[in-house]
Amino acid sequence: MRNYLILFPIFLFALLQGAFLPLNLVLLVVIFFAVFRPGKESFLVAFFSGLFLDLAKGITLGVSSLILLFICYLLRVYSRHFNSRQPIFLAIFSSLAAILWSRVFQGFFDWRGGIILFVLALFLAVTLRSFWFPDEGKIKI
Amino acid sequence: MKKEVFLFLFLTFFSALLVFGDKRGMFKRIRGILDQPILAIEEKIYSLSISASQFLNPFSSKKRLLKEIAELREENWRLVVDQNALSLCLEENEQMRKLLGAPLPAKWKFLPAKVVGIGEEMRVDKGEKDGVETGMMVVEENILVGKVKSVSERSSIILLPTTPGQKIPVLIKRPGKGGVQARGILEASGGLILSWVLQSEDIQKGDLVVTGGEDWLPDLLVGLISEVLPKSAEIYQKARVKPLVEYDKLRMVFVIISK
Repeated sequence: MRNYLILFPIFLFALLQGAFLPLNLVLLVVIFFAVFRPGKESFLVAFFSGLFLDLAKGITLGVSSLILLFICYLLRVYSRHFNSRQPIFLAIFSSLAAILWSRVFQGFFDWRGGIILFVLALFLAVTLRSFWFPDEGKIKI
Repeated sequence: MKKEVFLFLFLTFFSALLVFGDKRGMFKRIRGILDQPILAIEEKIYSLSISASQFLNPFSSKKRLLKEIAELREENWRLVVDQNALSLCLEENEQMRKLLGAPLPAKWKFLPAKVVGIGEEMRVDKGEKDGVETGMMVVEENILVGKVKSVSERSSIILLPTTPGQKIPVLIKRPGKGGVQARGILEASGGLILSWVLQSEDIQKGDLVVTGGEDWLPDLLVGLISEVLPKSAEIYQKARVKPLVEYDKLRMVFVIISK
């Protein structure tokens, strides 16, 4: 149940994105949640995050949920064969997902947003791995 | 793992159902109720973000401000010259109205709408309930802000001239000079770019860009030509256009609603 508390900051990020923020922070949080808290919760979080985002942005209900669920599923499949907690993988994946997201929703490739998200994801992944998951060994970027 | 796949498939199916239902307008009432508090919060967040950017701006962009002041001085001088020509036109217009003996037809009415969010598109707090429909024009005074793209019960999404992929047929007019200088298409690609203007047509810095009709209401101001791009071997010439309003600083806009 405690895992679902992540929905509060996600709701806040969705509101910020709906109001003015061009960065896709909801996507970033969902990706990180799916990687660091794998399991059925990640799908539920993706679903509700998508709903929040659709409500906050005033777009068709369920569209963002569909994409976030698909992203979570991709991560799930990848993590069965490889280590998805690698900071560099997370940074590239988040950035590519954000760029494709902007193509789908806004009709253009938002490279600037992708680069910012790359840096943010890299920083977040390194921090999370070194502070919350130190047992995963040395950080390899 | 099986349970997870089942959950994924179930949620995907449910999301698809939501998309289908929402497209058909089945959740209009629920969305209307949910939109109310969300729009109120977003409006506050948006206002705060504008206030914050206005507070931080002077410290971060002094150079840009100085440049803007110089440009405004130059523009002001030009406007003084135009003012003279305009006052003559106004006088003539007033006389014509008296001659016709009829007031201007109040065909259009304006619906004020608060801006609650902005990105590539703008979101306002007026929707279907207030009479907004897809395709309606949105203005600030007589300056074009955009066109309504989609409407929900209590909010609408507006396509701005700067929204990527947007193409607006425009006319170029020179201040203080009658008639149309040129025709072209205003495109959003890394700022506003005026294209499809014949090389033979004379456009220059400071010319006004106004909507040219078709799917758009005619004669709404969009911007000023800030730079005519160097002529190439192409048949058409291009120019950079500076919008007359900063779309991300607007708090209130007006939707033009027909009676």
